[in-house]
Amino acid sequence: MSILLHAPALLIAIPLLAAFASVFLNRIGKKALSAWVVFALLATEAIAVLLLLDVMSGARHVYSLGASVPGIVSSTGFPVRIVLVGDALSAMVVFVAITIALLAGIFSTKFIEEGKEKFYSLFLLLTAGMAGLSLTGDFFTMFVFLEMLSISSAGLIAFFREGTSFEAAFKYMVVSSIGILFLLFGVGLLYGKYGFLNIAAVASMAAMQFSFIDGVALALISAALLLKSGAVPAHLWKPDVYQKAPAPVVAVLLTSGLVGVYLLFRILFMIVPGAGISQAVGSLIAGIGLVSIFVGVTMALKQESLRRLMGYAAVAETGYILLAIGTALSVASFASVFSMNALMGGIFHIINDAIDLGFLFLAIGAVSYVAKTDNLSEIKGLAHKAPGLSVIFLIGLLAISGMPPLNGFASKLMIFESLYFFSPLLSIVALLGSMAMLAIFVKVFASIFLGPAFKGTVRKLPRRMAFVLLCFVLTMILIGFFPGLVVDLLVEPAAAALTSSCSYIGGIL
Amino acid sequence: MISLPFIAVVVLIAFGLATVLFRKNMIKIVMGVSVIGSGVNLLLVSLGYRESAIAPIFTSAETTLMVLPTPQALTLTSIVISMAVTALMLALAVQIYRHYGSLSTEKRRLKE
Amino acid sequence: MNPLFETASGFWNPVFLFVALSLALIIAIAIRSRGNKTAKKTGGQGLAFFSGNVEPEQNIAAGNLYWGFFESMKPYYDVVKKMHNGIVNDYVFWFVLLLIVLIVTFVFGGMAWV
Repeated sequence: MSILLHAPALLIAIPLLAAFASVFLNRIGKKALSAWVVFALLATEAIAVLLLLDVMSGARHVYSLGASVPGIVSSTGFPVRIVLVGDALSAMVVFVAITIALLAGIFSTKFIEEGKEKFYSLFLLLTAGMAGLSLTGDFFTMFVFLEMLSISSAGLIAFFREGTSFEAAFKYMVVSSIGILFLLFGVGLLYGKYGFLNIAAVASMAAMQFSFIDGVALALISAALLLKSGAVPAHLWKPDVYQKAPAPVVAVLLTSGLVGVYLLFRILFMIVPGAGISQAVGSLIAGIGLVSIFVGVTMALKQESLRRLMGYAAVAETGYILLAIGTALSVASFASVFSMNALMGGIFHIINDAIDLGFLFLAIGAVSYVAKTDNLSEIKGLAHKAPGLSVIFLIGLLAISGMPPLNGFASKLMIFESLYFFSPLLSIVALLGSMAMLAIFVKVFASIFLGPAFKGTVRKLPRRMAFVLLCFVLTMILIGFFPGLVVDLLVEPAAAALTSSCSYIGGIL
Repeated sequence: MISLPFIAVVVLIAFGLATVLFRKNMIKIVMGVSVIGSGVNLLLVSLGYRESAIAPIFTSAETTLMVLPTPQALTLTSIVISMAVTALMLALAVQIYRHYGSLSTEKRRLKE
Repeated sequence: MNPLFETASGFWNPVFLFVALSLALIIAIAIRSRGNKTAKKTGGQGLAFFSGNVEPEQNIAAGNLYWGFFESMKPYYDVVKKMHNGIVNDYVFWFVLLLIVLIVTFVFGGMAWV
């Protein structure tokens, strides 16, 4: 199985190649371009599935780039090559990321009407950046992929070439490039101390000799990743960007934020030593999560612009993941059933968040396509003209606010239950946030779909867009009815991979 | 132990950060970001420096102390990336100026 | 394919909820079907009763839905509004603040808890 052997490299190489080829394919024709993009994304998805099926049992794929035998990192015990790692957690993250990118890519073949070749080359670059970021086992490659991600997404945010979208892209670019430069500073400090860039090699040594420099370096790296994932108080770019970027791009950007969360916890679980410091750091991150939920929800309630409101809701949803996994980190021993449960709830919520919010942004894109306007505040009473769209939109809203029997419920149940065990107060605030989320989405649904019938003419929703939206809804219902299956197959191996840092380090070195 | 290059790194990053924090002109903000980038690059290069060592080229090299090659490769990559970032940010600033006729960050449309 | 989902301290079965929701739906339909078929849809019987006074002008939009909440949280919102002012310099300022808090936690966190 040589495809499986090279799977981690192919996951990055295929979208990268497709990105540059799509500029030339545009000369053949628009149809050929769309077919090429969908084909490339499908191929990537197939490889992601292969990788996921292979590592689900707890195996680990290590791929060192440029070696004659890619499976072996170092023959001398001194890792010099760039390493990609696919274990149960990173394969799950890459699978979620590529799936959302595939669905958003199919959606945008109809949604984007002009300048398709520019859109797709940036879109595929963004996909390659996400795949690379979730598989990287090396600090410097992490920096390169983060920059790739932010450059391509800044291009996509400004895609509609309005004044405000340029403003959003500029803000995003300034904030994220400063964050990433600080990350590079932290990586430099770690390199100066240990002489390695490999995450596993640094972790194996930092556990013994954690000092001031490691603390500063880790703080710099975590700050940049928290900025990428959009946690309070570094969330300020998020509503701006989500308000102005094209709808399919927002769905993918959101997933890239979740990849940032994944990377943060991978590094923290591996490098942070000792009960004392991991308790402090875990509590701080749980606190950041709690503040994110509160600020995100209260600001979302006040918004007039719908997509800005969704941006704040996304801040709050990221807060739930940070809260759950931060709490698990602060309770250093994973012997407790509840801390493992919190961890699994957080990882499960990464999947659900990507599905639910990704769906909602695509559905908002569909609404603006159907009503032929970008200004969503003009749209009222669309349920009279597009009843099918309003029903699936309602299902998505219920799922994101955690109503049973849809997918958001199961992960929130796990989070609330285990939080209650640690501190009832935490779970009360989190629960109130979830209720406020429902209140927000009542407002969203009422303002778009209810009221007197929509005045303007309505376009028919293309079959391709409807297909993508139905895929999402079907997944939500399926996960909602069989949450145990997803937890057993995907989440539990992932949580095991996250907590067993010793076997990760041993497997790479 | 702390030598001149590291002091220069701190000074460069502080200047860059101060520019980004206190200047309201977008072009100046872009300058500040690239000054921070230079500071970080200087850190990487000076981490790999060894006193009275030779360039890390292995062909017919004597067995003397060599400068570390990895940080230089990292710095080259990061210089290329920061060029792309600077170009992109300047392009965005030009477009914002064309739309609004102002480069001030206080004239913003997206807020609250 | 068992829908039963066991968590740390209990279990959750979506089928129970589905059955309960279906029952509620059936009861609602049953009650609705007993209604008067000849009831008029128009004529104003669905409107609010203002005791014969002049009906006030309709100016309540979706944005006014949670007015009371905003009014009671005004001090909080004044602070948060200042934070979300849309100036990119301040975005960087908040990021640097987060960075400082993180550095303090990472460097001194171990000592405070031991």
